[in-house]
Amino acid sequence: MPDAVLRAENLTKRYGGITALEDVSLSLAAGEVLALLGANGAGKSTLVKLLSGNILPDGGSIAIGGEGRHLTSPRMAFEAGVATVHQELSLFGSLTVAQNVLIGREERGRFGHIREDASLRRTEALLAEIGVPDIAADARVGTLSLAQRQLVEIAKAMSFDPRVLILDEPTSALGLTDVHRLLTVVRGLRAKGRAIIFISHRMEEIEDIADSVTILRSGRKVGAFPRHSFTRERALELMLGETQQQLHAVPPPPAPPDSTPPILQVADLRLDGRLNGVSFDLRPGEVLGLAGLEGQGQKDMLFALFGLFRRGLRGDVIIRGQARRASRPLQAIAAGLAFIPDDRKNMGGFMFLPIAHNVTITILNRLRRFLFLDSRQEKAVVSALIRQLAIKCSSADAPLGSLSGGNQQKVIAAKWLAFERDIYLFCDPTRGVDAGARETIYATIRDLAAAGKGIILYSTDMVEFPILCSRVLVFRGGKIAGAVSGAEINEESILALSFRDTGTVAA
Amino acid sequence: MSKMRDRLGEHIGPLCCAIGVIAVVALYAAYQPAILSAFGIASLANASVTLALAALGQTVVLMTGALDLSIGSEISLVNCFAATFMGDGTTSIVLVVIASLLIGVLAGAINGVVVAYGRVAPLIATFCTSFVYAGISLTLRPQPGGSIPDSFANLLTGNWGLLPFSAVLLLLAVLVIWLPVFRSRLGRFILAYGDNPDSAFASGIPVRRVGMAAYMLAGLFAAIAGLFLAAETTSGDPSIGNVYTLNSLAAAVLGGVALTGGRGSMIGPILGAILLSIILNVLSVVGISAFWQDFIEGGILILVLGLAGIRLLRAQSWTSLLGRSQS
Repeated sequence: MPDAVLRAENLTKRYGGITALEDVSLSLAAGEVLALLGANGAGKSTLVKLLSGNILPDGGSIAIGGEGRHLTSPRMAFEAGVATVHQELSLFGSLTVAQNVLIGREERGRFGHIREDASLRRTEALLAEIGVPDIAADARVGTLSLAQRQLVEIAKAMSFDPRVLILDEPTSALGLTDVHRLLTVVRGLRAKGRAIIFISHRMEEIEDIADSVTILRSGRKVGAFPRHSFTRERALELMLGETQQQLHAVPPPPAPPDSTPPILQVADLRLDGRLNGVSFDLRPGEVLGLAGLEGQGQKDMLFALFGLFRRGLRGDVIIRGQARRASRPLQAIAAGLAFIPDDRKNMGGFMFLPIAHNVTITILNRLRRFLFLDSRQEKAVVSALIRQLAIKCSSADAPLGSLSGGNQQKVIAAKWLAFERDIYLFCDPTRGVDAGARETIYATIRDLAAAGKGIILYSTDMVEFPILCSRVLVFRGGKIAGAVSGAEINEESILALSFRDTGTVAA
Repeated sequence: MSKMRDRLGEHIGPLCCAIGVIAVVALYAAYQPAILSAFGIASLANASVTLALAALGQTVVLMTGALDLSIGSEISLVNCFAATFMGDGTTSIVLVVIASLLIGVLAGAINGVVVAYGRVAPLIATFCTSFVYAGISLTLRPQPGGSIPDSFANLLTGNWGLLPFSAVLLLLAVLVIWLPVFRSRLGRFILAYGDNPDSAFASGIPVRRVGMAAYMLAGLFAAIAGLFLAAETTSGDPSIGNVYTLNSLAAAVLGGVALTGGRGSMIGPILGAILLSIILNVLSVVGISAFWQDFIEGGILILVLGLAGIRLLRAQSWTSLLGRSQS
């Protein structure tokens, strides 16, 4: 294919010992839409970051328009003709559309002053070119809808006049009408001869727009088809790979009998656009998994239960028969909830404080003798937990920040173990955690279940569900798309539900 | 090795201050041996104690990751109140002392409400309230004046051999206020909140009440400082506290308190206050004009606050360095 606009060969990227992308090649012709498909952690984002100059490959090469390129910065990628619209938008809400689109490249006059009117006209032309003339170039971006911002990002990317446009999950947060509009824009760009890489989790969109489909799994390219030979079944199979049988060796904690009264009941929980009517029960001793592709409402569900949304939450949360919907963590904790976050730095621990103080921060009331804290009792509590969770530290007085990520996570778990709650919410607890700490966290979850606690586990690592959960709810678009339990819990059943066609998009 | 360096890094502020105090006192004594007499020590102690108290108050607020620019005005307010109403009788002295402490706590509570519940940035909020408190001081006492009974003045500023009573006052403030607070739940909450407000909130710490308590403690320390100044000068002056606002910040930072919150000790700010007071004292004794004193003082402040930011330069990525200036 001599006419390939973009040709990437044998791209490899490693982070420490982990290979995020291995030996991936792809080529893209002018006027082609290539869809990139893969489960969480398959390497899609790594590939995008390599092509957009955010990171450098450890091996392989990138050629644009037949010319080998070393993309060392996003700027350089723009200049080489690759523009990327990342999943997280990077617009400035307080500036106008025109100011955003042309930032740093405004139309300027003789004295170096910005010619606002010329900038506006140029932006209007760009918006018209991509087919969205209804967005006002002088509107403040903060006043636009999410879909409109997404389109402004595309206009901004197009202002570089790129040969290759990369759209990283542009539709993940959009409703149906907006998706159609965006796909129309993409079709228009294709007709104008741009090469487009389109990433989406929605099969129906891919069938609608893609000319070819490339599938990644665990950092490798496992399949590539032209549109006409693409089927959903085959794609799912490839994304999944061989199921890892050995992980099923450890059976999950048994499900409590159906007669056990639930400890937590959630009824029709809603949070504008993020949760669209979620209902389920949790029994003591049960480990309930929340699965699905990233950003389908699982995390919002846990945040909502723990009172991290101060308003906008509708529906009922009933704990032990009492209505306990929380609008702040203090209320949730009082209702018997504990929360182990994935974001240790920002929401879990105190990096400068000693390990001991991190562990006991929730139970200082109990450690009081007269007015003061009983340091002997505190030491006893802390050292017992350090032993139980095998926390590797020089002493309990070392600052939390001096520990490895896995050990930090154990300290945060210890904080809530010390404070014996009834319901434990684990929010992707093993993200960025080493293998040893992983095992400890799994063991902790099993122990808590055996002790009759209710546990909800949200994870982005699907192998955790079969070995820990007796029931898994699969989220999609802020709703429960389906549930699997017992022996039916495996990656295949979860992925099938995650990608299931909801039948809402009419092709 | 690196652990030892970390340990040292933690205590580098107090350590440098201690060395600095010894060096400055030695130089001062070489120039003016009388400084080591009982009277000399008492006068140095008296000069340091007000700043030490202000610095302790400032430190409590700094540990929550905020700051208090109204400490100077709180000191003036209490100073004017005490000099105006103290009278001569024992009963009135006791009542005015109690009322003074309450005024300090109340002023701190107002700061706390504006910052924690009004969500006004600490810098702006306390700058504004400092004008409010200054206004009240001026209303109470348009000109410097008033009176303080000798009994009260001698009680705080006298000395017993080489031991100045002012040092005892500082010790009492530490024993009765600082240690109990930092040996109890509140102290932990203050440090945790300053380390990471989001984690504190997610751990169920009543963050707003903790923020308020910190300002109230700062007000209490400021009130003690104001009472001590009243005893020292035996009068009330609505502008007497002004210098303590920035100097308390400098003393705290000099003593190793992080402006970003979560860290701090009691000994560091006290040593920082002593060092800074002696340097300022030397400047005036040597006969440097008032203008140059202010000039040098400002320079020292910028130097100290700038040095505190040096640690940040060790950051590897720009994103963790930018947008994270120390105050």
